[in-house]
Amino acid sequence: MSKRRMSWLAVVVLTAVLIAAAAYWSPHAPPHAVPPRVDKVSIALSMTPHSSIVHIAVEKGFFARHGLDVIVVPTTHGKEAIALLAADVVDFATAAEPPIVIATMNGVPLAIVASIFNVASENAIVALRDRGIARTHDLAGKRIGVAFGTSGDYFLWAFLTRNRLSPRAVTLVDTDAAHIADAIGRGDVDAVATWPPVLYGIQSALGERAVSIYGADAYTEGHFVVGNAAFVHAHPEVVVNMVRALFEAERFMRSDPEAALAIVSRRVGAEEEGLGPIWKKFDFSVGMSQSSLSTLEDVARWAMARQYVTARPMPNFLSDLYLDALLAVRPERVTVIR
Amino acid sequence: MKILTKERLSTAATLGTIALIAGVIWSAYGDVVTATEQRQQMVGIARGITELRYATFEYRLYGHDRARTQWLAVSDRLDRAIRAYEVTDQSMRAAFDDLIVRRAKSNQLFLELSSPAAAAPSAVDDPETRQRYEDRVFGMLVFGQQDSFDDVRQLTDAAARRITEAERRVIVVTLAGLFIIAVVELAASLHVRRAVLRPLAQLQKSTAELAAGRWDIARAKPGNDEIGALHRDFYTMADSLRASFAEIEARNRDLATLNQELQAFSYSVSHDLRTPLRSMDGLSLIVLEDYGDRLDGVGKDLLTRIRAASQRMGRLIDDLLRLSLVTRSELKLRAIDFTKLAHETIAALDAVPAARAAQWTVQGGMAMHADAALIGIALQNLLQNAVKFSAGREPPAVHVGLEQRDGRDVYYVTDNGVGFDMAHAGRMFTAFERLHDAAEFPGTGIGLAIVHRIVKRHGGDIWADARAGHGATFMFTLKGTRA
Repeated sequence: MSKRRMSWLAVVVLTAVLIAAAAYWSPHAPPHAVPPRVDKVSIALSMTPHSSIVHIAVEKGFFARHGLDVIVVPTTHGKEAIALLAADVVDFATAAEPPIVIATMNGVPLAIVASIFNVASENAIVALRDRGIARTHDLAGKRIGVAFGTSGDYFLWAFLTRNRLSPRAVTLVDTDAAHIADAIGRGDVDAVATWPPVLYGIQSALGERAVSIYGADAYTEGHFVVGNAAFVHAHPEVVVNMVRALFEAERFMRSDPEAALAIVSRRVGAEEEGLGPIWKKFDFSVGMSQSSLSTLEDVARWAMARQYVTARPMPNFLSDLYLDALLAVRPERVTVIR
Repeated sequence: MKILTKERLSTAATLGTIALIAGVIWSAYGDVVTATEQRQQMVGIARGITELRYATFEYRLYGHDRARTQWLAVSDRLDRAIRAYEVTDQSMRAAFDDLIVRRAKSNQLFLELSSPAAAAPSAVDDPETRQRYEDRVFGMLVFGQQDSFDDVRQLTDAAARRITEAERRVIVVTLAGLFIIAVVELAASLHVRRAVLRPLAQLQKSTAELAAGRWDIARAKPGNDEIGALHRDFYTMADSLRASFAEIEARNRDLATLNQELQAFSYSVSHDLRTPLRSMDGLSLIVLEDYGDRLDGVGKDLLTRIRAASQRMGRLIDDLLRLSLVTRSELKLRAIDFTKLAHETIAALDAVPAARAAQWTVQGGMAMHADAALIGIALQNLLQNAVKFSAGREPPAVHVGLEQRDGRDVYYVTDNGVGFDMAHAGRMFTAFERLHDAAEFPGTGIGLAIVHRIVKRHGGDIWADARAGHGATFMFTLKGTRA
């Protein structure tokens, strides 16, 4: 071989070695290969911003990218979604802690896959001034309207506890979200405990007649992706792909929050201008924290106190958590002691 | 582009790359120092949170003021540590802000929990609600601390990542820099080979062709660099040399023609001179033989001198012709047995009485590569000289030998004759120069000039070593080595 050829060969080999080294030390991991298999799964999805990550994953095709053909079954809120899951209509659902805890304690086999949303100070109590309510302790002896079994119900209970106000000191009136504004408008109740956007409608309608009492640290509401326990344990790879898609959606929401807001607003049928102000308060993070277990237990105490479930020793919610998928994809997002 | 410019660019690229590597290493070192400090700060904060949690549990269990005091002290120290921390990685700003918010919330919750009002019953609660309230606040405290741990972990991980990133950066830049340097060096090597060594080889080949006398050298197209300039200068020089050689050859031809004419002239003159000399000698002899009785002693003596002078002039002319022949005859080099030649020459000298009386010694095994006829003439002259100048010795002794001096064969003829004063040695090889009186040692003074010219024609040197009254040694070398 001539010296010239050897020189060029040396250059080529050196270049190849350096490219290989650069690739080896590159901070960007190669994208996951598209799984060849397509799994069909169904999910009951609340048409609220709490499920934004799932809405984004559907809209942007992140589920499809990870080999999942997701059929969305829309619901008005988490309680309905859990009901569909309990009825074995869907494989997955998204919901806040109260419906999940109630379903679990009622014997529905659920697997809590991941937390996808957290927000504090979203719920509030709107009270009529002419009923002598100006501050929290004025609620004693008053009638408070709330949709029983919802996160609003639990919020009210946690709010009262946080302010050392006995739940027995108030009278709770079961008022569903669709009629709660009319109930306080007519004066059927002295106050209501509810969440946006119903909350904003009531505040707007009552104006100066009402006072809003927020309980920022009373209840940090979480939203979770929950699956049918049998399905989840039988299809671990499906759950892993779903979690990967959720993380992709999370990245998208952080990198382009305006586009995410536009997509979510359109999908849940909300005005972008109305959702925008509270959008920044939402924490769209996929993971599972130890404090969620504590909240689930507190919700269980509330459910037993309100007799939504029969009283019993505190269940072990750790066994209802399915952490394998999160641990496989982003283990640092799991702070549950295990 | 000039080679000097390219060399400067190559050096600049190499030095620039080295400077870049040094800069990146220095920058990475700064990052590592900062990240290490931050990691240590975070370790301190994590320790503070651990202590705070311990004090929280202690206070929750026993409600001692000591635990409360310790809690507040740790909290104050923790707040100062957090304030001292400077966020340099903006991607960690959110985690750090969370840590600050959680610290403030933790302080608020602990003060609320440990305040006297917290323990006092109120009109709107009951023991169960109060217990749930305390549990709730305590839980919020503990989980807030746990979340703070998570924030600290993220910040610590970020510092570790920055250290790893700095190391990776150094490795990548160093590898890339080495690659650039390798490419530059390789390019420089290829360039030197193509633009310097190859043209120089071409130039060397052209020089060799020129040295071999071939004027039609292959001419490469010169570049614009220094080597190109060297090529152009070389070709210009070759053209000049060619012109000069052409001129010299023309002059040589003229000189050869002139030389031939001169030789013809010399030959003609010699012959033409010899005829009147012979006439002078012959006529003087006739006058002496036919008219000697009419001449007195003086007249006869004058005629005798005329004859002697004309005969001597004839010998001079003969010697001049011999010298001329030596100069212009063609050299026919071959291997010669010099010992044998010496013996033959000595035998030929047997007619000379002094030669017969001399003691001859000749070294055996002497050989040389030379023109046999010319070397024979030179040796004959040297031996005649030796015999002539040692004739008065009893007995005269002449030795012919060979010795090695500085790796060269030095042939010599040495005698025990009268020698000479070395002060005059410089002129003895000049024609017609004599160091002794002609009456004492007859001759024309042309012999050593002939020897000198023969040796020079063989590319050698000749010299003598002598001392007046103690003999002389004539030494000579030839260009060729021993045959």
